[in-house]
Amino acid sequence: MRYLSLQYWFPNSSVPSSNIPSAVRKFLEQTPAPSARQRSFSRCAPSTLSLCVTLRDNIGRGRTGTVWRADFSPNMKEHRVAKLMSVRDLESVVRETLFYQYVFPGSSVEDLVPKYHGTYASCDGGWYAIILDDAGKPVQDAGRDDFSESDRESVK
Amino acid sequence: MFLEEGILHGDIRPANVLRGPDGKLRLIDFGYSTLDRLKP
Repeated sequence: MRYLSLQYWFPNSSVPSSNIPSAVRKFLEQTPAPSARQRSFSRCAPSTLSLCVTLRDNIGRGRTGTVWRADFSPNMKEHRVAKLMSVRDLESVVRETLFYQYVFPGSSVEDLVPKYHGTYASCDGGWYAIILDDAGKPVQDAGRDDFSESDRESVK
Repeated sequence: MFLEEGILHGDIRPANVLRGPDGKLRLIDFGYSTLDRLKP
């Protein structure tokens, strides 16, 4: 079991997708850079909100991070997960956060992604955590036949 | 539906498609995603 103390890094208030700020759109239209280290982002914005996370089960590993089932305090009772990403992948952190913050809310795909609860940074700025609803298990866990052709069409 | 919104995921694979207890599918991992320039 691991414990993390995190600071609020990015708000999670929803805005209609038709109002994507032009700077955000411009950034998201660019192909991701080969290495996030080539770009500079603010590592940790000032914040007064904090979150204590107890990482319980590692439930997945992506290209840029690991996903943990976790307990959060204070004020988070529902089942949520934390996607932990290193500062080395900061561009991906920003990119993913901007999609959840500006693109998905109010769009036709809003119900096809997990609900987003904010992006947090570790106090030393070395790690970032994207907090999402626990949306289930990867289809590969249930075997190849579990991902039918109709499933494929529904997420395309 | 993602394509209609101009969202190009960039890393579609079974590990990034979750099935919830309600049977609904949800897509995750948008760290390599882009927006289609041609969409409004």
